[in-house]
Amino acid sequence: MKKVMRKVGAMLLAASMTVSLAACGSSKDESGSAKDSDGQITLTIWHQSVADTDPVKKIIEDSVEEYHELHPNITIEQDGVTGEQYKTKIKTAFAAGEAPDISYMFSGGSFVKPYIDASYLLPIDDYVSEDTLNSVLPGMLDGCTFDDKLYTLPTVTFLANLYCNTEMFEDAGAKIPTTWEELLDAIDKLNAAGYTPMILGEKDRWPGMYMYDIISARTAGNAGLEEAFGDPSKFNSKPFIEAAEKLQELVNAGAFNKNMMSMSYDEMVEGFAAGQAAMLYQANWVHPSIQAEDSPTNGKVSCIAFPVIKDGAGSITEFSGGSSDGYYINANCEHPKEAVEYLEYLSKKIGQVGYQQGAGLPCWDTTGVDTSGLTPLDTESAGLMETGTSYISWWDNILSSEDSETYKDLLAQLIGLQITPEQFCESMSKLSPSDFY
Amino acid sequence: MNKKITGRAKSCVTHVFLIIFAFIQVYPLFWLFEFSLKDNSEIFGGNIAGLPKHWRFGNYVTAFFKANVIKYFLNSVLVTGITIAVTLIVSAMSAYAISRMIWKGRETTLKIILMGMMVPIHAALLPLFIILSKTHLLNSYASLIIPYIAFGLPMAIYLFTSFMESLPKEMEEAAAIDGCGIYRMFMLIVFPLIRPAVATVSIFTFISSWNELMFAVTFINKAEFKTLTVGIMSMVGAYTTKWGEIGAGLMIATIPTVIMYLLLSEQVQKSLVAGAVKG
Amino acid sequence: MQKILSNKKAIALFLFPTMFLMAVFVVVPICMSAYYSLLDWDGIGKGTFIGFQNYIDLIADERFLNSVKNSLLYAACSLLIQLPVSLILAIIVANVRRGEKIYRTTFFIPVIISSVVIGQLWQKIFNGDYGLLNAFLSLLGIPGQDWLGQESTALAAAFIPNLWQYIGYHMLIMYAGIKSISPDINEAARIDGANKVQIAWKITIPLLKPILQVCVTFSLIGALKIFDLIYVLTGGGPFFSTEVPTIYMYKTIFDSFRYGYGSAIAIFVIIECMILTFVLRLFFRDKEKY
Repeated sequence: MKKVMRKVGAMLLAASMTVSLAACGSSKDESGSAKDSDGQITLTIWHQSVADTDPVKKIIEDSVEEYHELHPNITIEQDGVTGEQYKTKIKTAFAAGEAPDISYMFSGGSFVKPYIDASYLLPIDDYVSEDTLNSVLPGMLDGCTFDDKLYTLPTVTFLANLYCNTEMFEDAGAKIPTTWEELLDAIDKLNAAGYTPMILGEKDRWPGMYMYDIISARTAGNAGLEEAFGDPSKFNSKPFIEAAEKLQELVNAGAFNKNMMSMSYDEMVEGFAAGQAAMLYQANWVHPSIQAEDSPTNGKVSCIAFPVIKDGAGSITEFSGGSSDGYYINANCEHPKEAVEYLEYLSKKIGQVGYQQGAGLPCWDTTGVDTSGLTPLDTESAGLMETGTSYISWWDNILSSEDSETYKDLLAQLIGLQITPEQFCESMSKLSPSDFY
Repeated sequence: MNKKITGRAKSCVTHVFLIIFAFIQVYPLFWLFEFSLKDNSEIFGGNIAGLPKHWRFGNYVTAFFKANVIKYFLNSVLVTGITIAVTLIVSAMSAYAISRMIWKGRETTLKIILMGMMVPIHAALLPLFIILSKTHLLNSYASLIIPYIAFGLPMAIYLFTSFMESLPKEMEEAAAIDGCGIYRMFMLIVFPLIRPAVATVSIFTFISSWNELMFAVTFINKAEFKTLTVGIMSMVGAYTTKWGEIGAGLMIATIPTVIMYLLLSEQVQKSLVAGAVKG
Repeated sequence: MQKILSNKKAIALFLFPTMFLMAVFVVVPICMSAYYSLLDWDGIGKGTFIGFQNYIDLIADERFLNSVKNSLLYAACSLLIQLPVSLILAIIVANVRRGEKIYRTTFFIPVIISSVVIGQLWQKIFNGDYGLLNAFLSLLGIPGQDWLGQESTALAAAFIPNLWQYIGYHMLIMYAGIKSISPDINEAARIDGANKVQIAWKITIPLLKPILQVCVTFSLIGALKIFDLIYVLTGGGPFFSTEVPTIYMYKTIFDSFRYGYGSAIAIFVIIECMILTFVLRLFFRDKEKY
């Protein structure tokens, strides 16, 4: 028996070593694409648009058939998973060398950048057509370019706005704010009228990040932010401390819902849509919730640029957002040319059809696109974007993944009045310089 | 007489207490049911516990047809069914070898197997993914079934071992005298005897594989192999989610679990009672 | 009989499938994680071998130590609150004359409902704005709290649903144990004049010791690996106050891209489980001597 057991043991050991050695060795080999003898090509794409509330879901699903009709030799296989699970899945697949030909990636330092640095993704400059590039709106390729190489194409873009429930504002006799003082005044009046002035879901930590992103853009200006990303020691300076103070000023003025620390993003957006608060600072992807048929606030919401701060270096035409998550091509894809062609087709389609259906703001030339389906809120938000002179992406797109987590954690502590503005900025100054500035 | 009355009063108090507790334990089911009939404005608004204002059975229609729940449901049945069947056979065999047969290192083997319960599942995700990819099992029912079995075995073996140790040996001895070999003994004598424990192992294996999400999301890319939990989670939008429809999906997923439990609970009782002495 | 039961071929055959499956799909992953834990690796590209640096960093990582403290606290709560409650319920249910079957069946129901549902439900109960708990307290004139959102109450609020969900589970195992105790023993004690509490304390519980050891072990391992419900309820917040090692591990691996460091936490959890179950065994064995 002993002998048998030893043999079995040795066999298992050998088996396990082969597996783990193979795993530790080259982690990139085959990617999902395959070509049959008769020139049939299969391209795999992973994305995170799975819910019926997301217009992109239908665009991608339809594109599978449409594209096959246009290019009979190409079959697209799509797979969608949402949110947190998508991140886990795509990261695992890349780590194991099993990533699809084309994958949806969240842009910026905390997600796609490490993959670009490790050469897991394909620069598309050599494949993309001039025509396509010409129909992208000016500036929209910036977010797709890393180290002067183009990696993806934009689809639609998102912009953070301050959403105001006009009915509540009128009822409280408050003015839609354009300056910080007016904002504080509105908060007082809304509070007095028994409304929660602003809703914040800080359980997920990133909604609070959007607040500090924009407030510091108002105090330091986008130019000042860019400087600090390149040299984080600048975070420990007056404009950033002031921004932190302003944020705490809002907290102390009773601007936010009392349960913000336990409120999730979903509860925040649905809460605003259900009329639980007068203001929400979020990106325009919240429109479907606000405009849902059964939403009590449908038609009562107006969006504006975040108020300016006196003596701050930022202006009302500077925005948070403008980033474009996109679809990236695996460096091991066997048919880069075909994959890029599909990427062009899909990105443009999402850009135009998605814009039409209110999925986001356009990155592509939309002349000739029928925009009659846009709601007043969509149009209002698109109008704001036209006034924009400069955009800074969400900070978790700019900072590295580790620093993004640190930033969001610090911010939760700042909003929870656990640390002082000085402590906050002191810790921020210890981040690593961003790769992008 | 007096004693009898206080005794009855006491028993009354006990029952009231037990009934309240039973209500608390069943409440989640009731809550899920009403949750599944609401829309977002009710779920996130004032009416979180009361009955829905409008009974939105449309949520179920959406869950059934748009989210393709039936297909995913069948996949879940298949994956869970095979997982349970294989787990039962494999763990019963090993448990028999450990609890009844004569060899050195039985205790140690059992302890090593039980260590399998200690692995934090999230850390095993990437290693498992790599193993499944090297063995070309990704994107198949096997990519879910095999890990479910492997992670379900420690518990199953544990339950079977303690149950078998409580069984009398006479039947097997008689069979041995009749000249019955070990394999026939296991299949014809032992397997029928452990039926109550089979129920227990089934229900535990069922719960863990039926509700599993992370492996199911990560190891499967093709809609044809996706399971119910993945189907339900795909109703969660990136930025907007209709929670009532998710509730309907969860209700559809929960009902089989409850039915399964109600059918098996009597057997579960028996096996636990029998296996209890040895612990 | 002896000969049949010593059939080496049969033993090997019976054990082989388990050994094979567990070796390939459980042991190898642990070994791979152990290897990753020695790397400075972001899960992308190639890692750098750094020996035990990750473990050294862990010991000095306050956030990690806090998470360990939380999980030990939770383990203590499950041993000192969850199990005693389950035990009391088990004794009561085993002794009621009517409705035994209904009680033990319904008590088990939370165990079979998925954590997503349980998590959603408790979020609604604890909600600081319109939650059920606050609504109930306001009837009594007590001001509401944001139970999951403030440091002072979040940990307790995150623990309670976990403790509650598995009460039925432990109760069922203990109930089964009680039912397997011969009624003669209880009868003898009753004749000697012992009341119900005395019987429970002096007879039932000592006889249940092997079962209790099982419950304690399961409960401990479960407590140290706790993840789902806390992740749904608080995500580890506010300000890490409800973070446990498995959540910290998940965030480290999948949010911060620190695969090596996260794997070190995983290995720590496994070792922690092993040590504590070993200590428990010693504890129970020690008691046996007296």
